[in-house]
Amino acid sequence: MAVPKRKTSRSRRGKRRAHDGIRVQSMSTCPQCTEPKLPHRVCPHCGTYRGKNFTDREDDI
Amino acid sequence: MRHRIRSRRLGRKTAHREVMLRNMVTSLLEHGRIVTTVTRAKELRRLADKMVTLAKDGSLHSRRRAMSIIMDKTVVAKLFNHWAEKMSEKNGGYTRIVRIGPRRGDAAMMCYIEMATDTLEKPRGKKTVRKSEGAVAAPVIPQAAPAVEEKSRESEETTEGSEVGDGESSEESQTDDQSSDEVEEMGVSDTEKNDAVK
Repeated sequence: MAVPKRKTSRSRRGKRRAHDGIRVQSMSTCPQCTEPKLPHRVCPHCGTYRGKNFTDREDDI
Repeated sequence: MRHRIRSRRLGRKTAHREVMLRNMVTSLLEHGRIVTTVTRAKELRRLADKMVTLAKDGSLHSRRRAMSIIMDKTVVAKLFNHWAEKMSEKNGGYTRIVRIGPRRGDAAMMCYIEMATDTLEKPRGKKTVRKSEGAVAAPVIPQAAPAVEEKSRESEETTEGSEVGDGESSEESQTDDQSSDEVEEMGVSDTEKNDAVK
């Protein structure tokens, strides 16, 4: 069975992981409650999106 | 060959998928809004819009075709009375998908899909304001690069000095000059390197 000849050095391991970094998610601000939220999503804090409250019951639609 | 078949299969066999979508469209028309994944919602809206089209036709044949898909008679009645009346002004775009966020567990993007009886506010952020200003200033910027037009631009700046867009255009022209200088320097250094190699 194929087996590694050498232990992977700290340098090689680090170089392999050089492209594994995680980017910070870009955020926008809710115009209703000024809390940070993900762009193009319903605000998780106040439940509104583009002026409409999506936490309401839908009986009146 | 499976060419040009655009529908999503949603990881199910045909019968399973069709009955799932029928259940979903029944729920959507009954409640007006449901929560699901974005992928399912995008497939569901095809069916939902077809149901509304049948309802707006209103004939007995259309009603029977709707009955063959929708699971509940009372929902068919609601579709043909309530939704057909609500959507009478529209030609398509009967549904709306609004994203909520990733689902805990498998991080699938969840969304509301609802019958679009109202209209949402247009987003008015900084970006849209900038775009409108940029659209005014945009025709000036690319043509202002040649040195011949600098005089005309200066006259414009004196007349329209209060506007923000002019300040941006002057800054951009400066950066352009710098970049061209850098290119020239690079060219010199390259030739020097070549000499050194020789």
